[in-house]
Amino acid sequence: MKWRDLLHNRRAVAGALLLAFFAIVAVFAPMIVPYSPTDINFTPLLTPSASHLLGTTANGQDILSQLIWGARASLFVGLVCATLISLVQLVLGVFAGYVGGLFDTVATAVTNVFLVLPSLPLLIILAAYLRGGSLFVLIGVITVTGWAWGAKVLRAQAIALRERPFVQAARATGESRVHIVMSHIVPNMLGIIVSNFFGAALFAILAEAGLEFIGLGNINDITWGTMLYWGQEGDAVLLGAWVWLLVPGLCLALLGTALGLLNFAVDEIANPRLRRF
Amino acid sequence: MERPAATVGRSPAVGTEIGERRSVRYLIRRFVALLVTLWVALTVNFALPRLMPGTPVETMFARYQGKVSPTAIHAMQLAFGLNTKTGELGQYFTYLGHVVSGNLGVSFSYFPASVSSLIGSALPWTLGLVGFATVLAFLLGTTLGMVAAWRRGTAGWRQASIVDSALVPFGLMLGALPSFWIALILLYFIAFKFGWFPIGGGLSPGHGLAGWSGFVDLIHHAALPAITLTFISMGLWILLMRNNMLTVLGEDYVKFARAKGLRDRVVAYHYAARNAILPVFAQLALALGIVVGGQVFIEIVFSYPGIGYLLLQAVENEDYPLMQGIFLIFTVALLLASFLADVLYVFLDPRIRMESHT
Amino acid sequence: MRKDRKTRWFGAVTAAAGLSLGLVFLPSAAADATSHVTTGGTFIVAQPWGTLADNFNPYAPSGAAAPGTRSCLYQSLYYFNAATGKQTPLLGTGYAWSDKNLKLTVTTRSGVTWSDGKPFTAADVAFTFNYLKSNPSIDLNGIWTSPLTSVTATGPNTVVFNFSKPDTPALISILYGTDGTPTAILPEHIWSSISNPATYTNTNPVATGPFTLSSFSASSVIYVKNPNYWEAGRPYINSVVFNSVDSNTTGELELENGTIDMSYDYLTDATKTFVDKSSSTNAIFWPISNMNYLYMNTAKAPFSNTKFRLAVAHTMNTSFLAKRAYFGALPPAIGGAESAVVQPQLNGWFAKTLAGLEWKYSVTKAKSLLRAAGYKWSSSNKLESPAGRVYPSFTVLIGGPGWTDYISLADNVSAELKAIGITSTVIQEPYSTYANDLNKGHFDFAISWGNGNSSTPYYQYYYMFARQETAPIGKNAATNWERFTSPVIQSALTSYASSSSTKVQKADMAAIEKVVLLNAPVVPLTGRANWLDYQTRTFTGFPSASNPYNDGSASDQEGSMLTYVNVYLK
Repeated sequence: MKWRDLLHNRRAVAGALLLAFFAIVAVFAPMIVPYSPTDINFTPLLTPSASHLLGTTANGQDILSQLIWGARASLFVGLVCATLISLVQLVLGVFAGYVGGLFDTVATAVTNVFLVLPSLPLLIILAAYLRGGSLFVLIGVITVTGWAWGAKVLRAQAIALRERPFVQAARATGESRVHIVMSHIVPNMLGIIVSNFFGAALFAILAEAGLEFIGLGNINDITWGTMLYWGQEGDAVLLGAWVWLLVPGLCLALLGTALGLLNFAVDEIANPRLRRF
Repeated sequence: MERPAATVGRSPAVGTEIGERRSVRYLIRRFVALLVTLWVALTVNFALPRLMPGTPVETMFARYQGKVSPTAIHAMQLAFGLNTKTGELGQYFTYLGHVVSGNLGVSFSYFPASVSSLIGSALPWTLGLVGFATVLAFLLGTTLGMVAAWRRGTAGWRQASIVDSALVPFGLMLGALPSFWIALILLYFIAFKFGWFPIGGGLSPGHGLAGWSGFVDLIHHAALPAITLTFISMGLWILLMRNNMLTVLGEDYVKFARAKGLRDRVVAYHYAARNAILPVFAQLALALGIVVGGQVFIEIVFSYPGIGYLLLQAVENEDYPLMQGIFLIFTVALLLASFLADVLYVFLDPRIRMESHT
Repeated sequence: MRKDRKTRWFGAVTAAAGLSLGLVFLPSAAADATSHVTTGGTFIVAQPWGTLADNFNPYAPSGAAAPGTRSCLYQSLYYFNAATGKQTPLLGTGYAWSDKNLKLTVTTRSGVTWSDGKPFTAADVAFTFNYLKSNPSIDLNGIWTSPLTSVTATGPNTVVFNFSKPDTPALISILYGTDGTPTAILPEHIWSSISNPATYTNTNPVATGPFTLSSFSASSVIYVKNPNYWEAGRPYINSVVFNSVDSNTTGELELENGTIDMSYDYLTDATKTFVDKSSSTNAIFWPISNMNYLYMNTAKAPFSNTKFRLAVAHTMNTSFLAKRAYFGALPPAIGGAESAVVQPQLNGWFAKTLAGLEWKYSVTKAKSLLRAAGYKWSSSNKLESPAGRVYPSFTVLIGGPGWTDYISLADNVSAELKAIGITSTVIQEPYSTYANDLNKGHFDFAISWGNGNSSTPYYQYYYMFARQETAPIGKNAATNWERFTSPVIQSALTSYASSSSTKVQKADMAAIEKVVLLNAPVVPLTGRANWLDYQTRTFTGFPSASNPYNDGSASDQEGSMLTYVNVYLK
């Protein structure tokens, strides 16, 4: 019944289609790129033309090829970070909420600390200290700063579910705590977990792009964030190369919107008050 | 930059019990948590730079690309006082002591200016921008959210509401937009191409803040960053308020009010909105996180001389004392704001049921 | 004590040389000496300096003092023009070695007053140098690391420097320093009571320069003409304003629309994006004063093999590299510059007998060199050691962030190395890691500048090849990053430092040049310049290729003092 609701929800469908579009571009990137994204042999700073639909960068690379290739990094980071963050939230949120006791106390304390540390400055500073690292460094840093809020939400929900009769019954039959969490608690909060997943992906993608924009990623990677970084460095504003600045950000915004729509739609379905049908 | 909290319906409650006495205990607990967090932040601050290779002198040598003579390296190391002998633990307690007395150290890139003086001169710019944009975004956003919800709620279950259908994706998109990208686009088209606003900075160089012309200059420079910041932080308020309103509109007392025949506007503002806004305060910390995040990037793109821009310069110059000082300020600010939000929440509605959990 | 005739003759010749050099290159010789010059005007410069500090200490660590401290207020003994190799006398007017090169006598300028009215004498000069000895944290040119033993003022206009051993290149550090900041002369009556000069902010500066401080704010510093400046009639302009703008982009835009007169910035494709926009008034002056080198870590294989290094040198298409990195604004390292002698010095210091020994771009020649040394290629055309092992991917190290020219150089070098079967990846590191890795020898290939450029190739060769400057991999080698030494080079350096005869010194340099050309310890790639940009709508008299009275220094470097003293209203 949940999936059918999803299909009928216009926002979910829109978001899913948009996400699918980017996913396809990312997966088939090596086949659809007109040129190699790292090829620096073209004349720099060309305006859009037939042979270079979006023009070239100040280093002589084809912008369209970079744009297509950049989808891979964003989706990869989004997927991996969202997965890692969700796992952390599962342990420190759901499991901690259900289990209670010392584990929960410690987990809550840790969550509260991370909740209040300002995430963006922390992100910037961690990335600065670990500078020059690859996408994996960014993934690590983003995961560390992005899990706290969702963990708190999940924990509250797990606590509410814990008191439900069917959970009490399962406990009475002596099932292991992990088993109870995985087969009773989680399936009943799937909506919010999925919604959190998409939210985390959105956070991750924007955070990655933001860090790369200020030069804290590996500037040799081909991603939308580094494209914007190079646009700044290459004096794009001064040279009137607005296409170079516009397209990577537009892709980020569209992918972000897709994830936001999915996040919102799933939540809408899970929360009856917000539903429309 | 963080996701819009669509999970408003299940406001993540913090623990306490009903009753006035208990709320004092709750506040004390929150304050203790604040202190603990502060201590953790300080310790992290202390440890991180000690894990990094390289020294500020080497940074300078590379940064100036051949304009710093190798002979100057030894002299500069002496000037920076980098050859200390005290042990790590001693340094840690000295550091803690210094911070408590307000001594955040000396900057490397602005040597010998103190970190606190640099932060002190940048902070007012950020506060002005953030304050203005937050208030405006809050007002605009909650109003739009309220309108969206009302239209949706009263249009009947079967009817699609155009306003709501439009505003929700709009709010989502605002939250999904990379703040630095919007800033870049606005900078390019409005400031560069059309020339309506300056290309960046806080004031025109050479001008002071004195007098009317100084004030106008200030506003002229602050306009574009403020508009951008308002724009991107609006999305959260729209969605929050809308969702809260919908939840409240489903409540019995609202239905009762409408059944009594009260005018729509009265029901909307006096009953629904007032109650919908309460949980919004709980989201204040989240909202601040978004504003702070957006503000840093906007300051960077517009080269607005606030804390965010200072942080970028510190990062680029590998000026660790300055980076640490700024991080500390951010942490303290957010801690205070979230604590304040907790206090407000408790006093505004002590009837709200919160769980008890230790 | 009787000196032998030869020494006295030597002394006389050097003294005459020093004095005549001083007379010929008076600062004002560069501009129009007639009186058809309109005085007045406010000259405006801008850079993204960030928040300006209320600090006018000429010895504050780089970038800490407010702009104008070095270019409007304080002066050294001489100004050295790295683009032409000429020196301009400022507070020093002559110098001479004597006593078997153990004694350096410097004549100081007379008729100079400090901006607070007190007279400037040789005692201030002696004080300054002795002050550096007691405060090593400000001895930025490492003057006291030389065999200098004492500095005394022997008259109102003479200072004597005594050495325990001959070290004639020390003259350069004393008069004007290498790369870094020249030794600014301080007033004894103010600084003798300052005990911590590195942190002293000197908010009421007293100096001898053509301007005095008028006002300071966090975004702008203003200087006004010093009515008691020692060069009569100068400066022509009334004041210099330094504005801190928020980014290079803003600075360029302000330059283009005439809001400011001068800035310092590398512009992508400068001719198209700047000069052509208003060719009668927009100009750039980017004179070569250094070079970009491809360093190889000669302490490990295969970089320790001479033929391998020569093969790499033959694989570098420096014309293409220069064109890509600088859009044609800077030249490749050719015509003798392969010997690591910087272009401006080639004329005087590159031995003509060595012409023809330079390598030329030829992949065929590179391959035959490798073959002769026993290297082979695998079936997928990857380079193999003589023992048959395929070489792994090497790293090409550069620094950052944002050094777009180095990114271009590194990317293209990496692409060109493929022609001889070498695979490589470009690694860009943040400043301190980059410097640290160069020092410790944690790199395979690296791209960086040269250190110690001065009036002769000596200091650069010293920093690049001296045994004292090298260290095993893992230990700190401050400047001999590629860790190459040779007995020929070492003895040539020693011989040069003990002599003040130009003939001997030129022969020493020629010996080193030959070693470089035959061994390719480093591969010079392109020239390196200063990036002076300006527009002539309001003022004229700027330095240019036809009138290079400074080396395109930035507005806050000492070379710009000559600009401020020479420009005048149109």
